[in-house]
Amino acid sequence: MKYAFSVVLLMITITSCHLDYEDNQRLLIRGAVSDVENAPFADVSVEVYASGNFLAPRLFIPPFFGSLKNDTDLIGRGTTNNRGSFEITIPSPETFGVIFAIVNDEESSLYKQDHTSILLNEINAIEPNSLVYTLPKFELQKIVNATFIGTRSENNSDTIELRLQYPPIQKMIDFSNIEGNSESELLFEKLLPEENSTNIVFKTLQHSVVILSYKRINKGIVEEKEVEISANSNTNRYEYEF
Amino acid sequence: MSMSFKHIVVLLAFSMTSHMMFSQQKERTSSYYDVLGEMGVSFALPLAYGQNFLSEAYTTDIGFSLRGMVRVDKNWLLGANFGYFGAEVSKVEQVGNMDNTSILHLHALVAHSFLKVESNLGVRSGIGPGYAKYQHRLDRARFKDTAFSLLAFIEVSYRLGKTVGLLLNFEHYWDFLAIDSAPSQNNFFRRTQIFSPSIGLKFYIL
Repeated sequence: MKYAFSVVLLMITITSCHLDYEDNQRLLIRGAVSDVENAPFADVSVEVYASGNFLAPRLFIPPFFGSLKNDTDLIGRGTTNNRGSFEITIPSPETFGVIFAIVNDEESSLYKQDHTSILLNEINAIEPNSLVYTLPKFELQKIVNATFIGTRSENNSDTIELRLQYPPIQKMIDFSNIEGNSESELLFEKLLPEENSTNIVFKTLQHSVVILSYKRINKGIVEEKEVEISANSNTNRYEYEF
Repeated sequence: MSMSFKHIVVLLAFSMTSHMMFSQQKERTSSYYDVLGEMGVSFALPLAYGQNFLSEAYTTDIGFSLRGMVRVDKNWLLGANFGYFGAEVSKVEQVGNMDNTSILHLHALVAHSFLKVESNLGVRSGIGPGYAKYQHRLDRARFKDTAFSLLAFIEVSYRLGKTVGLLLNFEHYWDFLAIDSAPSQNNFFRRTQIFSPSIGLKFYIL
């Protein structure tokens, strides 16, 4: 019993509570960034992080185990070259965790304000080939101030409850779940009786499609609809007539 | 009893040989007594060169070298060399992010003295195999790269007193690292060359 207790105590003490890295090993992350016209995007910052949750041992405080603590290290950094491609060498994380990267991070000195940031999550879900992670090409879309203008020409006594669904200015690509990367921002607005139009200003990605869902209410739901609207590419306006 | 010519020649030859052997023995005893060994400590300014990660993606800091040698023959010495210097990553893209890196070398040495070991001016050259450790720190993590290493050196020393002297040392390390990396980076990560001039003090063990 005494022996078992000592072993448990020793295990708690030596439990790793931070990220660790393999000796004598380096990994390489390759990728490329382009604009929406598929032209190479140079001088874009790419930062690579390792992150994991670890048990924080709290000796002598029952029940001995502390909570999970997150440890995140910046393990590599680079920029895209004239061909829009990047190669970043990183140490190889040893303990369980994820490798993620941020393209065009807001904190970076090279941050391009009018372009989206991309979070590349769980890069380690890709199968490395000879210690190389090869990422697909990413589009760095432009951020625009867009306006939604909804007008109605009839049924002034109805209330219209509308919801705008549009792409966020920060994109995430999760390599562990490549199918489910369609997160979007939501905006809600109400067009009251006697109001003929509504203007909603929001930031989104240029040339993106927004989804408008609305309910026309007049002593109950009279009409319910969902439509996709494209922007006027010169004015970045989304217009709809109810 | 008369001695023949043959006997006289043998006696003379024996006498001369004994005299020569005794003189040599006397000289050896005196040399051994004068300098049995030496220790040198010097501050180094290491410079990495070539197309490798250390020269292209790091800046090397000041370091030191510690060498101890024991005389095993008139002009030959055996010993060990310990070298240490720090380095900072200058191009994160090429090697990854590290807070700092320490580079340690430990070598066994055989050295030859071109002048008399006990003379005031000393010129030595040596070579030896050893081990190198590139110790990295990143936040709270520590990890390392290891290497088989070769060291060659030329050292000029001047003896100021019986036990102390000045030392000018030129060391060269070839490190053959065991780093696994992308095939395109193997040459970049697997070999480094470091030239390390240093200046310091030498202590003679009598």
